[in-house]
Amino acid sequence: MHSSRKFIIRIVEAVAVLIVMVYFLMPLWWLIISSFKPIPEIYRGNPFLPPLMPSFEIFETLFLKTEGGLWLFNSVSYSAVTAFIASLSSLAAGYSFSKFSFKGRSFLYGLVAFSLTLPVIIVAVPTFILVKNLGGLDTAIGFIVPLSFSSFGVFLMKIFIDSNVSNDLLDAARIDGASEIRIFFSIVLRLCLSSLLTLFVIHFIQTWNNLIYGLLILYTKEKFILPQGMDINLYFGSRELAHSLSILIGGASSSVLLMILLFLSVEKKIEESFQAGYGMKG
Amino acid sequence: MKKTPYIFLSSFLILFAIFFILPLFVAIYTALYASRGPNMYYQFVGPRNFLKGITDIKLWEAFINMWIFTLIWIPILLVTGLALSIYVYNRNNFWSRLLLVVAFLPYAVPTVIGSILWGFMYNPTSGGLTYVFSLFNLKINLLKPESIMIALVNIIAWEYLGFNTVILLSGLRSIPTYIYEAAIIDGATLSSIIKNIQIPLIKKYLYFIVATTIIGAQLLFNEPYILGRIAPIQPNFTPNTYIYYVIKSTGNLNYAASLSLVIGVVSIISSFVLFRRIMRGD
Repeated sequence: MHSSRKFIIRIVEAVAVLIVMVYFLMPLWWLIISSFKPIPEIYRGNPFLPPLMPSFEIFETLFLKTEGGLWLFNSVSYSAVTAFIASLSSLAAGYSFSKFSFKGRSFLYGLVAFSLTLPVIIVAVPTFILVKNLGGLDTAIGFIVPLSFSSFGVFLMKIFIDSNVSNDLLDAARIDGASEIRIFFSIVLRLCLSSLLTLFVIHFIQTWNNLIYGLLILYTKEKFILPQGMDINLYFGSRELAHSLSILIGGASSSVLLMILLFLSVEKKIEESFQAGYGMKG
Repeated sequence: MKKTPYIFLSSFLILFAIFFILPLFVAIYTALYASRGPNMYYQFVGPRNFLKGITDIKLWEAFINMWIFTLIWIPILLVTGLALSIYVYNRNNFWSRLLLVVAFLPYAVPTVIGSILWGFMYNPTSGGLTYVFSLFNLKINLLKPESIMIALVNIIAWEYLGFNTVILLSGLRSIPTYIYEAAIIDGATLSSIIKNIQIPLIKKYLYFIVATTIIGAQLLFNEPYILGRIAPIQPNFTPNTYIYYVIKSTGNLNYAASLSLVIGVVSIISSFVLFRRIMRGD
């Protein structure tokens, strides 16, 4: 009696776990299999069955017949540049706040902390006005530069450096005659590589997701970020259905694949730098 | 070297000053003027734009809409997030850990892509979710105006539930083991451990996810914007979609600047009030 009750509980548990997993995987599974279906097959039959005849039609259309490949390239390059500048400048600023005392330090740090409490929209609209008045509308620079800093990043880096970079190590390097720039690049940067990469990924995704800023700043199709390109293809009938579907499904599955690769590559780097960090301490 | 900390700060500080501090003043300045033609600063009108913004019914509809959204989403988040994190923590086997990874996966998917994917799932004729419903003989179209809120809650749940579960899980992991040992010696059952130890001791983490969820809801743009492309949604569904609508349909940047300030101030005040309320409820 008791063991059969236990068995039933086990079954209920397994079914519940399965349902939750199916919920989270359903759209992604649909995306991956649909991106290898010939276009007419996407709207036919059971949407969750894999393709009868796997086909690369969607990716061929996306990269060869539409602007989709260009938009994907734009999104990757804009996001990479903003993430690179934002993470390095955050590291330098965080290091400065953490290890130096200087005039205006607490005021400036207070300003950074204050900026974290403000919603992004307060700044997005006037930044657009500013970029417009500076003549930066519809340029890659006008999109990239205003997104190339991160108050959150400065905050993160300061906290990380506070507890992971010892003053003794920095002083020892100074006594050995290392220049401040050299100390920054060969000690601080190396010790902070893991959180630097985390910040890079967070900022990369943030820029990728910044649809409202793209909509405000970029007008010419050739300069669009991918979310903008997908947006104009959500109106079916405005162009050929096959092209729209290829941009939406092919663009989505390329982005998802890219993000997962990014996460995986960073995960390995984080482990490596953790080991390196322990090596330094030991 | 007195200059060193300023050199490290400079790259961040320049961008921060131009694209965060300056825009705050640009917003105030722009909102005090009215445009004529291309001249945005044609006539000084004082607080007129602010008064118009504060009394704009459409803006308040957007805020109320978001508060309704928050009221629906937060109870669901708390129940499912707690259930998932407690299950993963207490079970701690291969399947529960896999469940956590699967639930977290959507967090790596850009929100524009996530919204488009669910847009495909909701499609009333060929969508995956419509297909699943049809297996149970249900005919549900979430893209109708009366159920669009549910459609939005579901997208947000899919994107952020795993992330919030990870935060709660780190709360559970911070409970020292001796508390469990004492409870087990005293003969506590699993359900009483969950009720009397785990939930009370991660209250701080629950407050944290509630606060970040409220702040996040006030910044919603991508999901409602994308949903609005495929379903009938009023342009003032959220404050951010309303401000974008004002810019695109009227081009009145002076009014948009005042709206962004009003939205910013209201969302700071409301999240502060709610946060205080929650803290007092302790």
